[in-house]
Amino acid sequence: MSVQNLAAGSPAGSTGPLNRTLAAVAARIRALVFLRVGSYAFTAAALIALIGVGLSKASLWPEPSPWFAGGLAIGAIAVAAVYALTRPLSKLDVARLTDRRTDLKERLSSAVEFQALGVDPTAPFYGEQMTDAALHAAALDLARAYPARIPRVLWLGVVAAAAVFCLYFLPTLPAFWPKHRAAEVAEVKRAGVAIVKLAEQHEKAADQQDLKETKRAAVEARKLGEAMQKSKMDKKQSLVALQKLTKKMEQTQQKMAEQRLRQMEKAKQAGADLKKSLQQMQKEVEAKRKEEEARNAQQAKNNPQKPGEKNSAQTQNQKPPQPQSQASKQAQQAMQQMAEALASMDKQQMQQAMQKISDAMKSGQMSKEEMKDLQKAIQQLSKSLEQSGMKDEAQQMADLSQEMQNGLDNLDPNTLQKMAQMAKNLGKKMGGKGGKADKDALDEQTLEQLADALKSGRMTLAMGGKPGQGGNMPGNGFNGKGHETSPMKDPNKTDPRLIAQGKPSESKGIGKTKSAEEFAKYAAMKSAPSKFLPNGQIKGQRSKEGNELQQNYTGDPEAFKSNTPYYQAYVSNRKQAENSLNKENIPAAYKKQVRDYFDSIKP
Amino acid sequence: MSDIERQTGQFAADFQRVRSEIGKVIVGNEPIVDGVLTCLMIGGHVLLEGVPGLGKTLLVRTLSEAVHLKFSRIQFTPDLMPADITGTNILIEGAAGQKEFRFQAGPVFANIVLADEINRATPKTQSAMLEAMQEHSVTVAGTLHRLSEPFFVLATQNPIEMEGTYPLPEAQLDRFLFKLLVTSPTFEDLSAIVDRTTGTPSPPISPVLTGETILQMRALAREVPLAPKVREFAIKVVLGTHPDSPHAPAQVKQFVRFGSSPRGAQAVVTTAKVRALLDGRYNVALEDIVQVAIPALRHRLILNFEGQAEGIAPDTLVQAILDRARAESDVKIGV
Repeated sequence: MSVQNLAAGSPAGSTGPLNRTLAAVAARIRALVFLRVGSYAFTAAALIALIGVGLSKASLWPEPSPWFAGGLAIGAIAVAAVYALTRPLSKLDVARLTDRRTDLKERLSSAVEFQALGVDPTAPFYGEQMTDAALHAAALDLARAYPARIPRVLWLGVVAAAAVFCLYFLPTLPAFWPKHRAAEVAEVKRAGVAIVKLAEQHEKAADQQDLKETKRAAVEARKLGEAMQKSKMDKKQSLVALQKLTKKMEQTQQKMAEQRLRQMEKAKQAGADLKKSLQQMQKEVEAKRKEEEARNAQQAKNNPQKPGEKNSAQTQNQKPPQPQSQASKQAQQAMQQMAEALASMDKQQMQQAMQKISDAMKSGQMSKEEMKDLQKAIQQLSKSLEQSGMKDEAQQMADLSQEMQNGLDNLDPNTLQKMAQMAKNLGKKMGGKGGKADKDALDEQTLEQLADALKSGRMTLAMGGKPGQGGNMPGNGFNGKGHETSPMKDPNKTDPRLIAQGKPSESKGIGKTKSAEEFAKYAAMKSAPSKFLPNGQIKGQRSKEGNELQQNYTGDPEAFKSNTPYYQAYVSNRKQAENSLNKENIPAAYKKQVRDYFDSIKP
Repeated sequence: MSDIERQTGQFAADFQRVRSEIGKVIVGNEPIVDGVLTCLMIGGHVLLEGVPGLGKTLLVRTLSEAVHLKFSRIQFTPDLMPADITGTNILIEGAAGQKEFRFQAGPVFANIVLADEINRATPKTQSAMLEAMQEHSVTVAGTLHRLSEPFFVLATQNPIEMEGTYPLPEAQLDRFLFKLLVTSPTFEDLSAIVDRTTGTPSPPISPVLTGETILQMRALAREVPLAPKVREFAIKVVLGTHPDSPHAPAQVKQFVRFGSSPRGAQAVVTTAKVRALLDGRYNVALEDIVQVAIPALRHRLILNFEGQAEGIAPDTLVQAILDRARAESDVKIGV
């Protein structure tokens, strides 16, 4: 709005433009105060951070966290913002300052004061004064009156912040990494590639065979491998993550094994129950048979039949008890075999038993009673199968039982053939692979393989990619196969010094028998004092009784076969680590990492 | 355009016209001319101090010619008596032979009075001006005689010829609104003086203001509003002249015995209002106070022995007071 326009259109004493301008000026003043105070605060924070980091680089002070430095700067700026926003700034102050800066000769401040005094804006001079102030306020160039100049001190702060940034982050750039760090990252990357490859293989296999747990573990392993591949984790973090993953896999595996065990126990119980009920049924059949024989014998005694006399009508109705058929016996034996197979979850045996039952049925030698008994036994078997968790098989067995019951009145060869075929098929199914139990077992086995491979890889990564120093090393990388290494492959070429120094790749660090005794013997033969190790010379001594030879030596223990129990090593090392953590000024993040590591390997 | 705006414009124009008329004769010394006119417009008296020959008397005479006002000049000498200034009752014989005392007005009965070399008169005579200057009246033989308005006294004094002079008493000095120091002309000013006074006569001065106009201007100037902060500043400046005041700077505490009376504050504020009007403003600015503070206060500071011995100029002290007051009134926001 130009001065002329306002003069033409505004009433005398109008202070709208004045108030608006003063509000805008107040906002700009607060922004400038923030810029100024914020610059000083930021610079102070940056300098403090720089001093802290500098002292830490000179090992005089523990290195502050980058979050601390960043938080300090943000906090300083926030304080400046709060100060700028909450600083008391009256309208009169704003007007007076603006008067001073723009040489308005107290026009604005006088108008504000007259306004505050409540003078009549139409009174002589007051109205003109306020209009004059409003005109000048409207024509005010804020940017010129309050130029936004970056305080010089801010440049110092920027330089200090840049220095802090460089001190923190330059060492994280690959170009500035020390050799060992670069090697470590490369090692983690390699391990990541291997894990991804391994995981993909298992994932594919799991997809093909529908192995849920393996699939899940493989996906997790692949993600971990990808993170390692992308250097999102350093070696320690990778090891801890690997440890956690393998532990989780082991727990899953253990859970699956327990489940299978429970199932087996159920099957065992079901088998035992079946056996018992079969025996009971057998006894009942035997008792019935004997009872019938006794009754027949009694009748024969009461009505002796003359030679050549034909059976009367009465005797014609009472047939003598038939002896148990061979087929029935076979079926009985088969049922017994089935009970045993069920108890031991032996599928081959189950199949064989069902084959025998099928054969017995097919032979057609079994009487109606025997078929009825067999039907009852199969019904019982169905219940036992259901009890042992083989629900599909139990259902099919129940179907067979029902079929038999239906066909008892008409045991023609076709019916028998049909029932025999059903039994045979059922046997095949029970004996065949691909059932849930098999799948679970395969899943467990594959999971175990993956876990072993990952554990093996973790060990290799932990050892810096070096092969083991003797013994049967569990793995060389993530192939999970492992290989045997021993310094004792060629005793004649073994140099204890090299072994003690951990250089098994040297030609002289090879043995034959892989045994520590051989190494000790060899070391005793060549007991030249070492120039490098104080305990390089191996000494032996007899016990007091003289019947026990003690030897203390420093050399290559059989890899991964520690003489110290795991829990003991864990406790002592954890204690030592805790002491170090308590004594030294170690950043909290690293402390947590160390504690996490020990938690993860807790026995 | 409102009435006030019109009057304000007219005020500045009239002021400018008088200044232009005076400028026909007086070369340079613009601050002195402005100071004299400011006092005329607000109704105060002026003490002009300067060595002889700087145009003090000429200035006053020229001013009297530029306005339609009665002018009288009193040359103060040691033998000048109060009655020579105020007038006296004289015995007059009437046409019928009767005799009566009739008041014969002295030269003070004018609108513009030039009290030339006022410090040459005795204190008794000097004090004859007191009532006229303050009350705008003269009492002779128990009779009060009103002076016609506007009444404006311009006194001159020579600071170097101190023998046979009577320094003005503090009460007398306090009556003067401004004490203006007339300084030697600059090279350019002197060149112009030489040209004007040694060649053809200067063009005649035309009266441009009447007494009534001047009185209206005085009334208008007094209406200019004064914001509380500006008033506070003016008061701090005046209080700063007192050595026992918390607003006094160290120099004042060291070299001043007595500071300004309330007349000093009145002088500062009223003359600042004239300045504001001349600048086309409707409010008094701190800058107006700063501009008028030195001529309004320099003659109201009474130095102590140390100050006199050190030859401390009152202007230096007033400047120190202004600096301090300015620093105290600064808005400290931090931008």
